[in-house]
Amino acid sequence: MREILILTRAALVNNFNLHGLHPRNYRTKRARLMLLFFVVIFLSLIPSYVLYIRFVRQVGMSLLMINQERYFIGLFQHMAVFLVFFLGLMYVLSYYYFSRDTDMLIPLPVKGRSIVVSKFLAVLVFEYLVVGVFFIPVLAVNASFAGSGLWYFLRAAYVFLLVPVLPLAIASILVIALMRVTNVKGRKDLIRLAGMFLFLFFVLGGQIFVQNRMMQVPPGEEQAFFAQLFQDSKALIDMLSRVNPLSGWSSQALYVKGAGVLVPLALLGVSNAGAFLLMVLAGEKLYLGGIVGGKESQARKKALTREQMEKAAGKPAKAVLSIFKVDFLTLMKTPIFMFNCVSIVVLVPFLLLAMPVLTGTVSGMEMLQGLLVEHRTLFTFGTAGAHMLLAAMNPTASTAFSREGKCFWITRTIPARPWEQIGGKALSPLLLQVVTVAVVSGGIRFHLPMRATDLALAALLGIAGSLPLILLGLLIDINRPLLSWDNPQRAVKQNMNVLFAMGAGALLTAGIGFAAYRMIRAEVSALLLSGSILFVLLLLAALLYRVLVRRMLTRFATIEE
Amino acid sequence: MLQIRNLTKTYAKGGVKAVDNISFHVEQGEIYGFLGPNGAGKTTTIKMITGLLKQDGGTVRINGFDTLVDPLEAKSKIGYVPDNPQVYEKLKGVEYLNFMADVYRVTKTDRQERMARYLQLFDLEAAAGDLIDSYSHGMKQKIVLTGALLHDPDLFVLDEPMVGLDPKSAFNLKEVMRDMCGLGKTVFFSTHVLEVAERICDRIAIIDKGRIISEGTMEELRAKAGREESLEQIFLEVTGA
Repeated sequence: MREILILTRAALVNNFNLHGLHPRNYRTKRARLMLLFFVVIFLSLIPSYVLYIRFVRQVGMSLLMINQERYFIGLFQHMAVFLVFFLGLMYVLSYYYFSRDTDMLIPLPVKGRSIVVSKFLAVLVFEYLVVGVFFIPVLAVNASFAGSGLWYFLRAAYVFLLVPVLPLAIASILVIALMRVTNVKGRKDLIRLAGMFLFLFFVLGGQIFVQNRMMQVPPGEEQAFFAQLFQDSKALIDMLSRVNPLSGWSSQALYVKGAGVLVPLALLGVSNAGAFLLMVLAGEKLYLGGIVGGKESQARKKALTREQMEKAAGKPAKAVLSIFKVDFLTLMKTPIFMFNCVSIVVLVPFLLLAMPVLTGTVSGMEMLQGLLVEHRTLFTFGTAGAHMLLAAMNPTASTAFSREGKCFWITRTIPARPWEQIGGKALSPLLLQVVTVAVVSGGIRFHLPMRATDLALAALLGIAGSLPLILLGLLIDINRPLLSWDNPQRAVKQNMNVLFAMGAGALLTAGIGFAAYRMIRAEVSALLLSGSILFVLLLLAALLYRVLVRRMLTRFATIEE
Repeated sequence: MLQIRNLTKTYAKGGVKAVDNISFHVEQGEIYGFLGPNGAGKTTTIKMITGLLKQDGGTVRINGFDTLVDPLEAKSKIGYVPDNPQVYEKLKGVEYLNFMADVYRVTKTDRQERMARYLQLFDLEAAAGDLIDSYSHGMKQKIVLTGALLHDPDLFVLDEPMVGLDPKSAFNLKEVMRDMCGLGKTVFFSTHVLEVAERICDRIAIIDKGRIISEGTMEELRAKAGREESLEQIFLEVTGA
C-alpha cells in the first residue's frame, strides 16, 4: 500500500506539474502576466459553463414534466461513463505505456501491480476533474428533484466518486490486454493503433445500435408509449438500465427512500470494486510482459547495400517538403499523436455515415433535405462553416511545435527560411483538413442531394478557411510551446494551446459565419458572397502569416528564457 | 571565422549573469577548446553562437555574418552537435540524414559521398536503415554528428561531444576535427575531457562564472601560470577548484 501511495504521489506531481504552481515561479512580471492571462481565459469560460448549467437544468425540467426525472441522473451518468471510457483509452495507453517515467519505474523493485494501480489512480484524478465539470451540475440540479439534505449529498458524492472507476478499469483492462497480445515483432505500433480504433468503433457502433433498439417504439404504439411514460416514472430509466445497469443503480441510489437504498449503493460499490480488482489482476498478469517487450524496437542491424544507400540518399527535396515529411512521419508513427490528431479524420466520416443508419434517424434527413431545398445558399455556407469548425477542432496545428519536444533545437538551428518552416508545419494539418473535407463531402452526398457545385464551393471555402485557422494554431503554439514533456500525451491532450486555438478558431468561424448570414439575409448574390468570404479568409491568412513569421523568429531565440 | 564581442546573457529567472561580457575570436583552421566548470556559461555561449539563445548584449559574427542580423546565413555556416543528442526517434537514420541534407541544401552527389563516408567512419552503416528509436545513446550522438557534418560546415560547434562515444568513435571524431582544420574549417567545442583539449586544441579558453579567465595556446596558458603544468593543473588553479 505504501508503495502504491509513493508511486501515486510521484505520478500526480509529475503529471500535473504541481511544482509549477509554486509561488516562486510567478516572481517575474512576465510569469505574473501569463498567470493573469490564464485567469482571464478561465473567467471567459464561465458564461459558457453557465449556459451548460442552464442546459442541464432545462433537460431536468423537461424530464420532470413528463414524469421521468429518475432518467435524468441515469442519462448523464451514462454519458459520463462513455466520456471516461473514451478519454480513458487514450490516457491509459499514454500513461501506462508511453510515459517516460515508466522507464524509471521498471528497474525499481516494485510490483507491476503497484505501478498499474498508481497509474490508474493518477489517471482517475484527471478523470475526476473532467467528470466533475460535467457531472456536478447534474447532481446539483437533481437535488431539487430527489430532495437535498446531508443524506442526499453523501449519496451524490458516492455516486460521483464511482462514476469513472468502472469505465476506466475496463479501458485499462482492454489496453493492457491489447498491448500484451500485440507485443509481437513487426509493426506493433500500427497494430495497436488499429486495435484502439477498433475498440472505439466497436463500442460506439454497439452503443448506438443497442440504444436505437432500446428506444425504438414500434409504429402505431407511440400513444401507448407516451401514456406509459406518464404512468410509470421509471419507464425510461428501466430501459436504459437494460443497457447500462450502473445508470439504473445510480438513479436508484439517489431516489430510493429508506433501507432499500442500500441495495443500489451496494451494487454500485461491488460492481466498481469488481472491475477495479479485475484491472489489478490484469495488471499483475499482463502489464510488465507487455511493457518490457513493448520497449523493444525493431532493429534490422543489416547494412544497407550500396544501391539502397544511394537510393535513400539520392532524392534531394525542397526544405519545405523535408520539414513536412519529418512532421508527418512523426505524427503518423507516434500512436498518441496519431490517435489525437488523425482520429477526427476517421471518426467524423464514421459518425456522419453510420449514425443516421444505426440510430434510425435517416428520417431526420428528410428535414435536412427540406432545409437544403428551401435554403440552398445557407446550407452551402453552413457546410463550409462546419468544415472550418472541424479544422478549428483539430489539434495538429496548435501542437506543431510542442510535438517536437526536446528535438525542437533542430528546428531552431537549421537554416530554413520562415516560409519553409511555416509551410512545412502547416502542410500536415492542411492535408488532414483536405481529407476531412473530402470525406465529409462524400458523407453529405451519400445522404443528401446536395449539388456537386455547392459541395465543391463549400469544400473550397472550408479549405481556404482552414488556412487562417492553421496559421492561428501555429501562432498560438509558437508563442508558448509545451516542449518539456516526458509523455507525448502531454504535448497534445494536456496542452492549453489546443484549447486556446479551438476557442479562437470557433470565434473566428462564428464571426465569419455571422457576417455571411447577414449577407445572405440581405440577398447578396452567392458569387459575391463567396468572393468576399474568400477574400477575407485569404487576407486574414496573409496577416496571420506576417505576424507568425515575426513571432517565430523571436521565439526561436528566446524560448529558453 | 567566429568573432565574439562583449557577449552578455542574464537569465530572467533569478537574474543570474550566465555570460558576462566575454570577447574572443577563433581563426579559420583553428580548433578552439572551451573549458569551464559546470554552470560556468559554456552551453549558454554555445547556444548564443548557434542562435538557440538571444544575447542581452554584444555580437556574434560567423564568417562576417551577425547572428542577429543575418541568422539564416550564419546558421548555414554552422554544424552543431548539442550536449544531449535528442533527435527525431520516429525517423530512420538515413531519413534524418536526408532531412539535414535537404535543409542545408546539400547536392545529391555530395550527400551520397558524405553520408557513405561518415556512416562508415562512425560505424553506423548497419543501423542507418533502422529507426533512431532503436539506437543507443552513443549511436544517437553519432547520427547527430553525421547530420552536422553533411553540409561540410565552415564552423563546427560541439557541446561535450565526447560524452557517450566509444573510444574508436571518439578517436575518429578527433581525426575529423583535425581534417576539417586542415581544410581551412574551424572547430569550436566545449569539453570536460582536459586531455583531449590539451592534445588537439590550437587555442583554449577557460570560462568561470560567465567570464573568460584565461585564454591562449597551451604555451601561453603555461606562461601565464609561470610553470610547466598540465592543462588539468592550470584549470584547477584558475578556477579555484
